[in-house]
Amino acid sequence: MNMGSFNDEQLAFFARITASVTHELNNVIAVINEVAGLLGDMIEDIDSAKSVTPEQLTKIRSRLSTQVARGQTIIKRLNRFAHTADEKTLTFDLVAVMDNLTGLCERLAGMKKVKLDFRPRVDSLVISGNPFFLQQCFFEALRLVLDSDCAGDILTIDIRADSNSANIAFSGLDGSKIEIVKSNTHKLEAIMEEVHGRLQLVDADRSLVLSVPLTQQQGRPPQ
Amino acid sequence: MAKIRVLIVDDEEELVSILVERLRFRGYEAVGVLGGNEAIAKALVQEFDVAVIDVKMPEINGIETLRRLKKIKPSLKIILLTGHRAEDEGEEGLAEGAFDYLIKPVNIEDLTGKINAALALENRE
Repeated sequence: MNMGSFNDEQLAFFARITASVTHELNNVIAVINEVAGLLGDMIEDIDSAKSVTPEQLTKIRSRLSTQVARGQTIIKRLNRFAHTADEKTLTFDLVAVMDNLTGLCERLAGMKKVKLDFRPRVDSLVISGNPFFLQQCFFEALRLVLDSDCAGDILTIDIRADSNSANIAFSGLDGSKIEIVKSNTHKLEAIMEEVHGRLQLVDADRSLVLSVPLTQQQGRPPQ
Repeated sequence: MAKIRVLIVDDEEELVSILVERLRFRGYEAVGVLGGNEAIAKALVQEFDVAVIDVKMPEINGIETLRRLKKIKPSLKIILLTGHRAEDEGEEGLAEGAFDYLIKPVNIEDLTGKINAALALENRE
């Protein structure tokens, strides 16, 4: 790890992601626990001379496999996320990093009854900078949008590039305006400054866009 | 003897489905729903003795669901399910009138023990 120390805001971001993801992992374990219990109930049934059918066992296996796959996906995402804090500056694929973070944020959005629809305009977008800080920007922008008064249940996240910058756009829920509380944007604006980027509402306030330079985006120095 | 009627409320669909199955296996009349609003709608048309409610849910959380259920069904016994390190939420639930809370993942015998204890207390009241 060559990242230096995190400040309070960065730690809070890391903690929020970790808390949300571990809550989801706990649900996976809770389901596996119940499936194991259900199997125990069936064994008890055999003891009382009732039979367990192959269909019942197949269903148990399927339920377990589903939860194991779900758990593996969550752990893989969290692991990738954790490693983005390894180095202060990296050359990395912005699409892959944000795709991963979108997956980690699904539960947070789900708690607001919002579904995240990750639709980058490009398959990959290699940039140079600090992936951890950019994810913090993404996360704060997502929180702003989720806390806005928008109606609807689908939030589209789009990534595209122009000649100098990479742009991450959060589009209005069901095409509605993003009614962001301006007084809540200071934190995000401050972080965007650190990555030499900017925050803007475009398309008649239907999209919140984070723009960052394709290169030389160093981020905040270690403290 | 009438079966004990239990309403399971959790946004984790698979968990609800299996808990319902396991409670039925133990002789309870169990029904599952996937959120607070659904729980309130269900409680308006069907009688339950106990509701088992997850605290962390979208739309209205478990504590708010508890408050609203208690308003329309004051005698309904409520057991909350919380995540790890969420004892505060459990305590808040107790202050709002929950019978008790359990930390996920739960042991089915602990859950049925709480359900039975909630109703035993009611019979003594």
